[in-house]
Amino acid sequence: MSSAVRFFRFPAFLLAAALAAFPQAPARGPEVKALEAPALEFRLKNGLRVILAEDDTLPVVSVVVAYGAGAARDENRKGGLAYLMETLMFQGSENIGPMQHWAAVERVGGSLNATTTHDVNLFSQTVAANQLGLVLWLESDRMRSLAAGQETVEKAKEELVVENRQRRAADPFLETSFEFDRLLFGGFAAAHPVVGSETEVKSLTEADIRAFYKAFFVPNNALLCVVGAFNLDRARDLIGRYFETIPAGGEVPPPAASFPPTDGEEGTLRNVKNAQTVVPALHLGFRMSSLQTGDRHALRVLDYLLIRGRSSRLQRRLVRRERVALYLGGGFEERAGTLVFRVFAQGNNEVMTERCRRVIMEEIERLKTEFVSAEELESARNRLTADFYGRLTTSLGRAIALVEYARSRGNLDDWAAELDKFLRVNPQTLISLVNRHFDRKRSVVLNVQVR
Amino acid sequence: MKDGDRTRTSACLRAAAVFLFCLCAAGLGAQERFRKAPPDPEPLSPLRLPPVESHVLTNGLRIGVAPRPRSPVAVIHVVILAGEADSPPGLPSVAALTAGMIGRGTPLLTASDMENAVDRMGATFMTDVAPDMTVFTFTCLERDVDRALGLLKTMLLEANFDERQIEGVKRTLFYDRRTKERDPEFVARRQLFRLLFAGHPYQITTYTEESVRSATRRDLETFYSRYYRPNNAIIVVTGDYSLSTVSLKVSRQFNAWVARDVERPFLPPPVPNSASRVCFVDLPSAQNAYLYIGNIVMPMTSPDYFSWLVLDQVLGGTTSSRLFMNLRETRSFAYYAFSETNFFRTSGIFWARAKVTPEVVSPAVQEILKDLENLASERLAVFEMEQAKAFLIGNFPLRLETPEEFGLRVARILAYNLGAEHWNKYLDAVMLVSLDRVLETSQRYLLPKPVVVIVGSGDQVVDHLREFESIEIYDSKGAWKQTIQKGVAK
Repeated sequence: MSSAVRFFRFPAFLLAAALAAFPQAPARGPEVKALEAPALEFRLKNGLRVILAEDDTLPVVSVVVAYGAGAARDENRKGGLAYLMETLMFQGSENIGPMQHWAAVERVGGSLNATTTHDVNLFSQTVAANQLGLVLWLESDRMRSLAAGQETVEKAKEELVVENRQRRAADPFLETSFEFDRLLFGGFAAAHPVVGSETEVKSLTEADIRAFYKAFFVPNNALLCVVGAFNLDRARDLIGRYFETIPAGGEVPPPAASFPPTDGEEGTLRNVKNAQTVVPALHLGFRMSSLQTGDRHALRVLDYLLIRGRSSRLQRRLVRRERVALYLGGGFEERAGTLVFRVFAQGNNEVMTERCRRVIMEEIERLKTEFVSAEELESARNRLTADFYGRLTTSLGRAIALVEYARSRGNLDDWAAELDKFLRVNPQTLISLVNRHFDRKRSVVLNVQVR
Repeated sequence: MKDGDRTRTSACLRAAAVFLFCLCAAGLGAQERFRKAPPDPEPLSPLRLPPVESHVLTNGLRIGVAPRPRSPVAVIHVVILAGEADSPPGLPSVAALTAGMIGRGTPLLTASDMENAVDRMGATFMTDVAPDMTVFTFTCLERDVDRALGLLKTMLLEANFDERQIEGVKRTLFYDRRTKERDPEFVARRQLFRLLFAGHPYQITTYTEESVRSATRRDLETFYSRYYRPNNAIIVVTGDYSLSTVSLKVSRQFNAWVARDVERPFLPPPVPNSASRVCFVDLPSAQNAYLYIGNIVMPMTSPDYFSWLVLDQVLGGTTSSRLFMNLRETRSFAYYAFSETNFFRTSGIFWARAKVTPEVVSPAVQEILKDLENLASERLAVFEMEQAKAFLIGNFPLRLETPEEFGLRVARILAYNLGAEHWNKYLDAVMLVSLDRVLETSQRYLLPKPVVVIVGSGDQVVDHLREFESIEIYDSKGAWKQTIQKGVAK
């Protein structure tokens, strides 16, 4: 059935050894426990990547199918197509009627969801362990064929248009956020909104949908991950039965990404008037340059250090100490291979948002020259560790984490050491990282002013 | 659907009624037989849950454990066996305000110090105040559980009722209520509870934002001193622990907690409604009409509990259930229609809920009432009952996946004295429910007439209420305005 089978087992994390390498870190408690879930990775003849991870904590199983068919695949002026596909994937296939996929999972007490980002169209379900066959049957049928009447397509488009209008009405900063995306990400692939514009959605045709499905909803552009209580041999048999004979699609090229030129030494600065809101806001971002080994882990730690959690540097200073931000959010985001750091802050007036901008820039400059204290780094590591493990407490959380990891790294070779790599990030690494990536020339600021 | 849409659709249908997108036309020509139908489910995997064990310290504190082998995360639930219904008469919200003060500082630590300590551990601290109990949930890394217990002890036993912090908590609660009061579902549920719990201590839980203002520091301290006692509390630790380990860890921190007799008046179950009662709440901002139709039912300890779960599932558990199929799919009255049940110490409360357009309020209410009557007059079809059981059995382990849910369930079993094997008998008990038991249960609880609550904008809805014999009108805060009889001019 498959080639190149690899086994992995989470080892115990030897934090004591890790800490010995970082004299800045204070003494730590007992070592963090690892989850001993073995993961098996293989590829079917048709190119479908499969990850299996057994966990018998409860008789539950989660199945995730991720297609490399996110919004970055939308062609110019066809925004919203990938998102529309998410809806249409529930509208029936050769052997399953409209919405019957949903009903079949719900009927056996399962839960299911779907999400579209710029990178993936991801479908997930969690069911009692004895229903694994049902979910694989359902998923294989819509990977193999998609049946949707013209009426269904038109209805899905109408619903998407209404949803777009409702989103825009409910979130006064959504439009400016899209505007900021255009400035920050540049090229259409990463910059356009997942939901598309009303004009784009209305113009989508049956031929567009057929071409998109044929090009991207193919086994060689998909990853199937099963996590939970199952027998490994039985799961492999079922996967072989339902997925092996689905024909591979054509070659799938990587999505395009490009950066626009910046305005000069100080980066890009724009002001925009917003009639929808009574308070001003600030969008601020940096485009990261090419990543070096270890950068991904260091950037994640920096995320926690700067903006995640109430004791992160920017939350502490802008929200609690200086009280110039009414709301502050953001962090690192990756779309179609383009990595950015972005912050959104709301203030009561423009003096406050300007102060937010200055403080953010000031803190980034400080990170270029001053070592982060051991206490601050420890706090960031703790929050990151808690979130990391928090995701792994459910079969679905673990399946999505494995899918994300496998998609971004290409394989699971180092998955077992993933947390350890975050914990190894030290103050020296961070200084080097910030100096390499946070270049003012690659900064983008969008001031949202009250009209 | 609009006319224009219909024309366009017809044209498209003429061109191609249904299209089938194929990955590969050649490969899809003849499909394997196994693709035509779903596979049969494999035998049900055994669900082996540990027996719920507990240990009582000399000060009366009950300690429980929810074992999760290999878990890197620990969850501590502290349950105080007093909730919203224990707020003093005339002073609703005292329970919520008291709970809100936990973690808001001690004589030596500020609220900010405590929040920072929690955040730096990567931990989270949550508070939930229910009618019968208050639950504090502390989630942390397993390695930090001793520190977490130490911090929790400080928060709980050394709570400082600083006036400034009390004002902050009041403000938070006030705005929380104000925000919720814009939500028609919240307003409908609160009104239903208020009417069904009339004259019962549970009614105090349905307070409005204005009530938050009246409580004083002294009220909070009195409540705290009376109920926050070890002999009125349970601590459950979820993680890779045995009961003896947990008992040692917890007693190290909490054995100095001083016990005091906690007097609790007998709480009788509320009396179910039995007379026809239709109430309209005027919420001018509501865009549609929201229906809540419900009554008092049994507590979790009742022998009717499991047959009720099956019944509730058939009625409105999912999109395949009767309410959804009837109101949305068959009659196109509703955006959605479901049913739910909440269980308290002495009773439960169930409701059917639906969101409908104003012009179909009256027929939609009649359909829901008819669905309830049908359940009480006819046996379920076998397939319906089996489908409901399949859902309940399949869904049960999913609801135990997060350590927070897992631990909370153990805490609830201990708080309601449901017995050490309660959760292990769940699957068998559901499987043993028969058609006759469901019918008996529905006759017992669905024959008494339920209360009907309709929430919507008066301008849009009142004209569509003429079919009802009598309508009680309330304002958005739930205050009675007038009662209108059919045929009598306003």
